Amino acid sequence: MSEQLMKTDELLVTCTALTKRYGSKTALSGVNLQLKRGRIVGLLGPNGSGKTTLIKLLCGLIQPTEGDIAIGGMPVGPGTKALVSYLPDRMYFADWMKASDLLDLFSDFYNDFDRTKAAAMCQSLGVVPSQRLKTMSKGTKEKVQLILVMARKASLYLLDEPIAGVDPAARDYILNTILTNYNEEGCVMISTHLISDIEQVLDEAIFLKEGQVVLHDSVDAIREREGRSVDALFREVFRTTGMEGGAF
Amino acid sequence: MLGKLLKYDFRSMGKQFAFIWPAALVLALLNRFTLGNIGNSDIVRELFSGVAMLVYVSILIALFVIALIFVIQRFYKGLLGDEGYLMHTLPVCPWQLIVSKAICALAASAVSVLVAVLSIILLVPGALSGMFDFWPRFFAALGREGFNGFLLLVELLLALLVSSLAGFFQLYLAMAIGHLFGKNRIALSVVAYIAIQTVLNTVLTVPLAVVGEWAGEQINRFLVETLAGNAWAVIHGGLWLLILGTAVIGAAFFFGTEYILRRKLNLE
Amino acid sequence: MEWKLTDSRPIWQQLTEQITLRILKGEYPPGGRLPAVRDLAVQAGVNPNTMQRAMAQLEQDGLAVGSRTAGRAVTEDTAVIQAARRKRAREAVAQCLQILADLGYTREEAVALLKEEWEK
Repeated sequence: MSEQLMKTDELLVTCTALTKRYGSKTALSGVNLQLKRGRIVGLLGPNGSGKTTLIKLLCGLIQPTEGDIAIGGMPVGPGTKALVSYLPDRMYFADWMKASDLLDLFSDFYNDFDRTKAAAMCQSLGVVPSQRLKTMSKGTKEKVQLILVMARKASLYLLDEPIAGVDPAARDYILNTILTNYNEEGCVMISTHLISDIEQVLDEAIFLKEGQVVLHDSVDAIREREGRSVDALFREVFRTTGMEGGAF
Repeated sequence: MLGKLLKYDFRSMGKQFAFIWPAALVLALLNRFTLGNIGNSDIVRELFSGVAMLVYVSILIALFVIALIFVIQRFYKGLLGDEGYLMHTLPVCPWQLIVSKAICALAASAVSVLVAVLSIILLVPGALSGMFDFWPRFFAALGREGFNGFLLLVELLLALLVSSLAGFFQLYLAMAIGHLFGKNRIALSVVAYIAIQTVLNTVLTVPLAVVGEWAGEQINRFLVETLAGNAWAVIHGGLWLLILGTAVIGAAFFFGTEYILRRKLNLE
Repeated sequence: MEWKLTDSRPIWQQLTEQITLRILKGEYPPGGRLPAVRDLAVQAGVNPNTMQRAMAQLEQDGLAVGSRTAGRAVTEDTAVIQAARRKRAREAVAQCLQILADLGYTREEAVALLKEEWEK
C-alpha cells in the first residue's frame, strides 16, 4: 500500500441537517453526516429506511427539502458529479447501445475513466463489448454497470445495493471487483440490508433507521465495544421492524 | 460537453430513423414506376400499384408520427426515465442536456421534412424540372424593386425555426411538470401541456387582438397602396414581431424546464 | 489456506492471528517477502485498511519488517519466530489441558491420551 493512504483522512462529504420529504412522507430527517477519504463505508438499514434517498441526494438525482450537502467543498452540481461514481439500483441504459458505446460515453465525459482498465475488466468478467445491451442477460448488464463505475478513479463511489438479489458466486466477484479497483484516496459507500455479506470489507458502518442516522462508527470499534459482529448488532437494532432474513 | 452530448443524441437518432428514412425514398421511387399502372386493365398490376401507393403514404405518415414520438421520447425516457440516472449524473449542466435534446429534435424534424420533399421529387416525374422552372421566376420576383425577397426568406425560415423550438420546449416543460408528481406522470404531463396552452391563449388574447387589428389595417393600406415600397416594411415588421414573440415564449418554456431539472429534479 | 473470519472480535485481530500462523508454519519463510497489503486484502475479501492494521500489528510483534512503500518481509530473526511459535503452542496446550481437566482427566491419563493420539 502506498504512503498516500495516510494522507487520505481528509473530509470529503458533509451533510448538514439533511431532510427529504415526498409529500407528507419523510424519507430522510435531519441527517448530519461526515465521510472521509480512504474509507469503505456501509450504509445499512432495512428497505425503506432512506438509503437510496440519501444516495440519490448525493448524486443530485433528487433535491433536498432542507439542509445542505458538500462534496469536496462544493454543492451538488456538475463539479461534484465529476467526482462521484454512482451504481444505481436499476439499469440506466438506452436500448440502442452496445457495451462499447457506454465505454465511449464514459471516457468522453469522465476524465477519471480508465478505458484500458475497463477493457481488462470486461475480459475478466466475460463481457463482450461489441454485444448489444438489449441482448444481454440481467447479470451481464449488471456486470457492465459495475465495470463502468469501478473503472473510474473517483473520489466518491456510491454503490446502491450492489449485492442485492445475486447468488454467492456473483457476490464474491462483485466485492472482489470493488476491492481490486477502487481508488484508495476515495471513499466507497455501499448500501445494503445484507450486512453479514459485506461486514468484513467495511471500515465504517452507518445505521439508517426510519430516515435517521442511529449509529455511525468504525466496524472495529463496534466489535470491540459490543463484543459481537455488526450484523448481530444490526439485527438487534432493527428487530422490531421485521427485516427480511428475520431476526432470531 | 454539449458537443459530446450531441454525439450520443445523434447516434440514437440514427438508430431510430435508420429504416424509415431510406424506406420512404425507396418506396417513392418504386411508386414512380408503378404509378402509371393505376387504371390499367390488368387487375394484378393495378392492385400492385395501389398497394405500393398505400404503403408509401403509410410510411410517410409513419415518418411524421415517429418524428413526433422521437421528440417526446428522447426527452421523457432519456432525461426523466431510467436513462436519466445516467444523464443526470454526468458532469454537465441541465441546460446542456435540454439544448442537446432540442437540437437533435430539430435535426430529426428537418431531415424528416427533407426526406418527405425528396420522396415527392422522386415520386412525381418532372417535379424537379418543375421546380427548376419555378425557382428562377421566384428569384426574379425576389429581385423586384422594394421587395427584399432574400430577407423575406430568411425571416420565414427563422420563424419556422423559432416556432419549432418553442413547440419542443412547450412539450419539454409539460413533461418536466408532469414528472414532479409521484404517479400518473404521463397523464399529468398531458394535462400540463393543455394547461400551458390554455394559459398561453388567455395571456395572448389581448395582444393578439391588438396585433390583429393593426395587421388588418396595414393589409388594407397595403392593398390600397398596392406594392408600394414601404408596404413591405409592414410585412417584415409583422414577421419580426412573430419571431420575437415566439422567441420570448419559447425562452420562457426553456427556462422553466431548466429550472425544474436543476432545482426540482425528482427521479424515482 | 482459506481465510476464516468468523467470530465477532475485530477483524484485524483475526487477520493478524492467521498471518502469524502462516509465518509459524513456514508458509511465509523467514526473510521471505510478504504479499502487498492490497493483494492480501483482496485475497481475504477484506478492506485494505483492515489488512494494513493487521500488518502493523505483525510489525509490532516483530514478525514482519520493512516499510509500507518498499513492501514487507518476514523477519530474518528466527529467534523471534521461535518465541512466537512456542507462545502459540503453549496457548494451545493450556487450552487443551483446561478442557481435559474439566472432563476429569488426571495428569497420567492426559499424557497417555496425548501419546496414543500422537502415534495414530
